[in-house]
Amino acid sequence: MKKILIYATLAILIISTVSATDIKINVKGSFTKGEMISFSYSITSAEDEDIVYVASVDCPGALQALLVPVTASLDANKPFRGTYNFMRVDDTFEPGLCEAKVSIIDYYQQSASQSFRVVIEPSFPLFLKTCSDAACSDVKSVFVAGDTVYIDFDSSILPTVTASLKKPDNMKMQLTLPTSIAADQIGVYELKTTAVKKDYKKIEKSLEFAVISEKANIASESSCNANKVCDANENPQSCPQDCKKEKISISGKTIEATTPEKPKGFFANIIDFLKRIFGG
Amino acid sequence: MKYIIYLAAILLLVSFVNAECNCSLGYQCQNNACVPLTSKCLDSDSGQYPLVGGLVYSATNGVVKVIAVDSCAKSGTQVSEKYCNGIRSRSKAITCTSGTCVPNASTVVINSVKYNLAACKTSCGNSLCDSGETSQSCPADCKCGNNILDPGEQCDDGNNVNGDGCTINCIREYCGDRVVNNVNEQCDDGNNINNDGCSGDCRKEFCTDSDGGNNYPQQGTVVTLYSNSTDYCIDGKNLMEYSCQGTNIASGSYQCAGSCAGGACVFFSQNNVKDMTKYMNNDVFLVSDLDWHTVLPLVPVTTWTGNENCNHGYGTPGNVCTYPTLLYHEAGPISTIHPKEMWYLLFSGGYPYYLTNDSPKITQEYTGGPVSCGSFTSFALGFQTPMSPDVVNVGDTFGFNITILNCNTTSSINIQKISFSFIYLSKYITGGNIIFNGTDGIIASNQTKVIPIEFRFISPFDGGISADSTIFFLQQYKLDRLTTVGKINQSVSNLLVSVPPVGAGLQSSQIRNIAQEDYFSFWQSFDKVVYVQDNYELALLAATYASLINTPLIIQGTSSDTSNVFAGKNVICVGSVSPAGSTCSEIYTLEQLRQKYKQDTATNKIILVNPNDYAQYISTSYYTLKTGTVFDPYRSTSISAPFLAAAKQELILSKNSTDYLAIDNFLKSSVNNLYGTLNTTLFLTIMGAPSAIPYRLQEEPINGYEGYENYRSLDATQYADINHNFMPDWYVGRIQGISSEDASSYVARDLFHNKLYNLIDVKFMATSFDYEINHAKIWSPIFTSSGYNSAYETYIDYHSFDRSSYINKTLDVYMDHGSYNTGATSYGELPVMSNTIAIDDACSTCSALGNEDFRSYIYSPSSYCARMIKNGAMAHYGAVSIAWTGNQVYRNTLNGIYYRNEEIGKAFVKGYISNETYPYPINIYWMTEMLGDPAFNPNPPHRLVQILPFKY
Repeated sequence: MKKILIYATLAILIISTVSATDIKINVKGSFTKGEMISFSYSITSAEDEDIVYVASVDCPGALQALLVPVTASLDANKPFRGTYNFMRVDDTFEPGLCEAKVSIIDYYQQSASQSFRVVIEPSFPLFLKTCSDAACSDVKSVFVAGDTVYIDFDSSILPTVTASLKKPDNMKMQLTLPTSIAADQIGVYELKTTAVKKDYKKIEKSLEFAVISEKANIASESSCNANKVCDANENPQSCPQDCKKEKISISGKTIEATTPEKPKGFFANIIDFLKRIFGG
Repeated sequence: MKYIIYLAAILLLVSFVNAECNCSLGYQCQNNACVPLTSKCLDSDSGQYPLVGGLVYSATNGVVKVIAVDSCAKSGTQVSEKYCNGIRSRSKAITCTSGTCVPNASTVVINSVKYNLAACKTSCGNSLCDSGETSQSCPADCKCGNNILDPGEQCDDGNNVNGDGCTINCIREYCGDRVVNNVNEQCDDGNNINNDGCSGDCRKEFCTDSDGGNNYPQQGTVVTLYSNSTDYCIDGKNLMEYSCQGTNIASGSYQCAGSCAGGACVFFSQNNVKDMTKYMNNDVFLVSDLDWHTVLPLVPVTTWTGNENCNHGYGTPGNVCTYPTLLYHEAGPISTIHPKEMWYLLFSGGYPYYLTNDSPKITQEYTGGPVSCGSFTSFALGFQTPMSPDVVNVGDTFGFNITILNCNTTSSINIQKISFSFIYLSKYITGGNIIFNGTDGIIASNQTKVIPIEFRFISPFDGGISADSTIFFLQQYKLDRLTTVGKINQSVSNLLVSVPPVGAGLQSSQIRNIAQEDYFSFWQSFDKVVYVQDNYELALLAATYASLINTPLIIQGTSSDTSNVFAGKNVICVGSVSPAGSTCSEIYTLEQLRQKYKQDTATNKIILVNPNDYAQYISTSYYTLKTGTVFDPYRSTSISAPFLAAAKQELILSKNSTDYLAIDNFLKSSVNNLYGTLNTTLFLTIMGAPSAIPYRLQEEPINGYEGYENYRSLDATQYADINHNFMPDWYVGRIQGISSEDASSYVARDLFHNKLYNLIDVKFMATSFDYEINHAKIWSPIFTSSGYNSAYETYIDYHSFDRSSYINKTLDVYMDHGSYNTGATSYGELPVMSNTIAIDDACSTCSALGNEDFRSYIYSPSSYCARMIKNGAMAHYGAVSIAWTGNQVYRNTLNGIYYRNEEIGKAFVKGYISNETYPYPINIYWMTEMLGDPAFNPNPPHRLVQILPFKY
């Protein structure tokens, strides 16, 4: 009996082993700029079955392709072969390790993957800025005529940054950043820069800034200052914080009157009010 | 023969079950009742039976999800039989003994999708009406229409006409047979009872309410199959409101907050009237978002319900006055910094001594390379990677080691004479105390010495300002005048008067400035005020309510909080407040005010915010186009919510939590409390970045699809999904940019869309995938023939498109590879758009976190998705992570907007739940997110002349 059980267990184990699907991926070790990233694969099943699988490439930080589910009819123990093309290595890639992957998603789940490397120059961050100070801590895009405009950049490396500046009169000048210029024309300045550093990708950026004739001076139309004093230009409607409406009775009629809290007293207000009504 | 026996057994079993319970798929009969099933794998034909067309499905509480259907294989000689092996669906090819597989042997409709089920051909066709065959299952053998009652026929009237009492399939027709038989029947529910959806004489019962429910501010008429009823005023205060309850009329009296007139409540007090001499028709208001105490009282100043002759918004109720209100962003003083993210130090005057870069904590040099002695005067060091501690608060000290090389080959130096100054971003820190190892500051000639340096963070620094989106709105809105409120940053003021494209191009004479204290002057008269506790969450809703009843909003402790203001007024108190020298005429808690607002407005639009996002800082920074670096991305989106809520009479629901489950539970329970059900048509606007209102993360694998789990972390399938079937039930969208001003500007563009750019240029961009390329080529001409200037650009391989592709477009569609920071172009190259509908059928273009690892919790300002609204999109549709081909949500949404003229959220959700999918009828793959106000209707300049086809 014990023997039978062992046989049965072994038989089950063998069946499970046979039932397993084998996924093999063949991808070369590295890809360089201009090369199409692609890999071949084979799927072998121990039985006839229909499956749905997805082939993909995952490069951290790089673009991702839409996943395409593919239906395949597998014949038992006969490899099903395919090729997956991802995309050409271009400047959107960063150097690093990627993964070629094939996953069966229906009617069961099983995956296999294989690593490869993308060999390309890295990019680097470049942020242009225009400032009113040499250290470029006061960043702005509008300057007043006569100002000095400091043109600088932030980057985690030290690239050489050259620029073409188009001034409002359409004259162009060549610059090397960081630098400064005089804000001598009113209008919009257009800056186009190219940053290079050995062993890195070339980075191009542009920026616009403007020069105005004088700094903006916005007129105040405030009619209330909330200082708890009913000033001459304040009234209970526009400034109830400072001016109080009080009800007073004159000849049996109740009338609302403005009563500054300070410095006038109640009777002084009544006199003011009567003066406004009757003149004098 | 064996199969026939099986088949007979199954048919018997099915007919037995049906006779007993008539359960639909996903249910089983137990004790004469249909009980919902929950199982990962169920087989409708209960095994491997090739003569029966079946399907394999999963069920969750009776909700069925089809996994696979029986299909024909091997040139039609085999059935690919689907069956369950435990919880897995399996497939087996079985050769038909008849030699023929019929691909549509039977059909079944599940969730509105029709499935053809394949089975081997049976004996049907042998000219004998065999046992088990009927005129329905085998009309070739069982002759219906021969005027003879054959087996399986209920009738046979000798003709092939339906609707005459006997169908062409010889089934008896009558009202109550559950079949809509002829033109006289609009429905048939199998009974002759009224008021159950179908009348006793088979007419479809209905109920419509012209004001959309318990909508007290609007008079409506309810129409049913049997009668009509119109809302009316019982008296000057009380309203009789009619609404639909199912297909019946419900009625109830309601006491108006203000008065009742013309069959509707008038909410605002007749004594609360604006002074319209203070407004010009195309006024715009601008205020800093730095202090919410200044911003929120402005809500009822610029938006209110009233009868004044005023400016109205786009998509707002007719009695709402509104003026664009822009919030530019000021981060204010920041007292917590993240050294590794932002810190650069400049060491100057170091000649002739050199810092070397061999200190383990100095990982990158900013300028110069101190690798050999030479002539220089300064260089800077930037710190990018691990520093300890990661976070420094005001008062904290932190430090690192540097190594100094004495280049002098003949004499030693005293390190104390080296000048260290911290110029770059030096305002964040003041001074650095150099601490020496022991007391020795002497470095021998040509030697190096490790010097520990300590810094102390002694005062908060200015977190920067952002006004890009503010200027973007002002550049396109033809305003009469700009009213700035309170102190306006000088750089922002200069941008206002600078010429485009840098500035707004305003004349100084077009701009005025008022103080917060002037708010009262905008009322000609008022007899009510809303007085709210000094609490941001309460004030968000109180501001919206003040706008609804057209009263000033007074926040506890502000300069308006004086007894003078309250004197003689009805004071409506919100929260724990006690008005000086007065008493509260009404008192509301947050929950009570929600109820009140919902009741008064009968709104079906909800805005979800996290009030804590006003205080939330994310540990990174971003560059603006116009005003430099800002150090608090994704903060304070909620501050714009009351302006949208007031204008469209939407209800703000606030939850101070960043746990999506807690937020979701709160949302669902709130809706249930407010509406009495979750099954109601709602527009749900989420106003907040994922840092404040998160997407669901780290989800377990979907259906066990290890490696592609992701990620169904969407608003549509979480917050708007009421029955957890991964399908949205409410019209949902999210408003977020990178700063609060992006949301503010979006709200202004939303509310004044009809006064902005009106463009007809459309661009389709597709590469890599044949079907996407074909769609670009097919769809673009349809737009052209509908009146648009449409163009398409396609490439066989991936192509990065020029930024000009995005400029001056009303619609922009990109279909190809994507990433968290790249669509058709990279986020950094994305230009300012023109209120564009932007569709990105590409991976990760609406990544939850804007990071290459969409399963991390890092919030990056490099998010392509977050840039879309900032850069001028009115709607953006993108994928949360890896996406699958064949996603029809995008196509369906386009048809919803441009063919059916639907709101962007409605088009999206209807497109989402559509089951026209390929290659599977399972929508689990779709992971599309929408940014934008779901209730916004672009009302496109031209309607499509035909539906966009989908051809995979």
